[in-house]
Amino acid sequence: MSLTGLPLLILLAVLTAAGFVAVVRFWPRLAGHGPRALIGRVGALAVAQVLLLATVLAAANNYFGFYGSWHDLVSVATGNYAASAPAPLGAAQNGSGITVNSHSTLPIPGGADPARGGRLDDVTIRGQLTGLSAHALIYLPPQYFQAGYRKTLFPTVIVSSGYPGDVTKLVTLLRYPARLVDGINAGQDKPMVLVMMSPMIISGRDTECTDVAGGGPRAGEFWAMDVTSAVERTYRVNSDASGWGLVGDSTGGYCALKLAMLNSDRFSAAASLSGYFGALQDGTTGDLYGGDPVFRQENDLLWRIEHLPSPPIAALLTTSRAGETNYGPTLQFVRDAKPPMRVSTLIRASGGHNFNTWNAEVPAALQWLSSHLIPAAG
Amino acid sequence: MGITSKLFLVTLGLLALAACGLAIWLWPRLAGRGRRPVAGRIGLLLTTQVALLITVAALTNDLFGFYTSWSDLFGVGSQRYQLKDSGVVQPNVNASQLQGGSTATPASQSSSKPGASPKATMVSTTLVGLRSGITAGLQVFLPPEYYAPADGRRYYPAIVVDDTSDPGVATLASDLMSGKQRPPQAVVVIVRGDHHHNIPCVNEPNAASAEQFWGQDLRTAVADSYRVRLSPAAWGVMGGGPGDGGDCAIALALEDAGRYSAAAVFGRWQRFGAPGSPADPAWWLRNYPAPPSRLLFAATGEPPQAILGPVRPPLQVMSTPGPTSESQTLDWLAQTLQNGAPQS
Repeated sequence: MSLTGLPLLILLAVLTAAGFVAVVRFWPRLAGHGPRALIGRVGALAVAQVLLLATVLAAANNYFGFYGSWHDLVSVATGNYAASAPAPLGAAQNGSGITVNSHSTLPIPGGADPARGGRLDDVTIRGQLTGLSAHALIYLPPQYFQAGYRKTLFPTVIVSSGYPGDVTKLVTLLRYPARLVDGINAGQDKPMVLVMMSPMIISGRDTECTDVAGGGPRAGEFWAMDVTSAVERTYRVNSDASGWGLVGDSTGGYCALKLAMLNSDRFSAAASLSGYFGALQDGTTGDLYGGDPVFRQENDLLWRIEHLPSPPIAALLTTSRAGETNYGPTLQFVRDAKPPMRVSTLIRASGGHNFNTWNAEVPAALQWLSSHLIPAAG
Repeated sequence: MGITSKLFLVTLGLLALAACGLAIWLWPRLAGRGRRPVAGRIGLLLTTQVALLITVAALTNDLFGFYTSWSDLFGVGSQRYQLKDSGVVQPNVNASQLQGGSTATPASQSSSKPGASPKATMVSTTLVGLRSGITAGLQVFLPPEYYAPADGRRYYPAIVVDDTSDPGVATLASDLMSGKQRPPQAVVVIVRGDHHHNIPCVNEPNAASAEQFWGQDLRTAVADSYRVRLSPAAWGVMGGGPGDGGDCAIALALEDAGRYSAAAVFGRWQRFGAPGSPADPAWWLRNYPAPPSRLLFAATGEPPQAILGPVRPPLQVMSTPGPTSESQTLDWLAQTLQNGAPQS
């Protein structure tokens, strides 16, 4: 039974209800005196509570899309992260590195016609350089299918969810593609291709888009080099840095800013929604830096901006004065950034680290990205 | 009372505990038959469950900092924001890394007669690396056809010659310009140190600035100034002699294969990297998929198998039986890149 979806939710709800009824029904049997009856009551309350909690957690996971499979969950619980199987040798050399699993369209008025609503490709990206692979959703805007744009090489944005996060929620919850269409129709956004992914490219593991030390997965290289080159080989996109941007929330925001800072020959703009700056390491990341303090420092974006030259990129950092812990660090980053880097900010009076905040910021981030990225003539 | 205030969380916790205590204490009194005791059980059980659930939810929220105010939770807070757009990066920022420069052409060029074949160009300039902060002297060789009108839209592969630690290749520039042999159909970029510091190599530990210099600063500066594409297929690197230029060339084509697709070592070259460390090419090839790069070992010393270990496709390795001159090595790289590089 899958971790997400109705069957598990219904099963848990039925069990919770049954547990509740059973406690009420067999209540008198635990009404006696003595320690056994007492332990029985505590046990009955505990079982009913655990069932209820499990149901609520499953429902929340369904809605927010934290973990997509039992495998992800087990990997996190055990800290035992297996890299995805390496691609067959040489197989990707002639291919594009992208396998399209299915096409779909957006549930918006007129969306069935790609020239009006664009097209969503469910794909698997296999990295030629790193051997890693990832599930991605690639959105092609309506203009991609219009005759007037037949020779346009579109700008492209890599969109990352937070950790934990499921890629489908970028379409259904944060609604990046639908919001882009709204923005294009309102004349605020230029057409762009969206490559949507989760930082969980290794089941359950939070790699923080890092080339993990000691021979670990080269997640940073995968995002910056493998994904971009596979997309360039498959779609009509501008392969110059002026055509590539990144956006993400939370961990996805940290990834967006870090990947652009470290690969400013590949990307020219990054929007970090509620992103942090520090080089995180915890139970969900496993050992990322191999105990090397210098390498860890190089992944700390505040350290980088203070001590190293600022790269030639434009960044958009979002935070709020009340509700976000990254307010102070964001101001520090803005203060320490030097030319040629350009740092824009989106600051709210209040708003926490949640989907209400990001839902409000996605349209602004898309508009900012589309004004910083340019298409090319094919 | 704030959604994350101590008072709120403690109050919730106490209420939940009280509800549980009450349930256990009142349990026997509600054990009877009939409608009222059953209704009492349902009410009591529901109360404890909801109280505990809200407590757990509030503590989790506080721990992760999802919602920090009630208005945020109910989505009724102001969605207004202030966006300060600082604009885009200067478009010519990569080309601006090349500062100053003088162009040299062979003496015969000055007395060019009508119909004379075009001559090669050598530009001496300074690269001030935007990302790495590293400054280096560059000599950029442009083949004779580069400025020919008929060739005005042709793109060339680029070959980087790592001359930062090895004075042995110092003669390459004059060899290229002497016209004694057919010049390579490539833009050749000879990288010299700044006479004060060695330019680090990508296979040194914590060589972040080296990766930024060789992989990004140098490539973007050249590609934005000359007709060279940024595609890895258009880029090769070579080094040799007693310095670590050869190690660096091999390391770039293995570790940064998304930016350099070919490398060559030449002359009397001795491997530097410690075996079994991440600086060892064999360690890299054991731990990661083989990159789609092409390597030429045209040097004395260990055979490629001893340095690389087993070679798997798509990596291709060639070797020559003895040391080869830098010009021959350059030719091999130029032809190898011609075979795979986009030309227009």
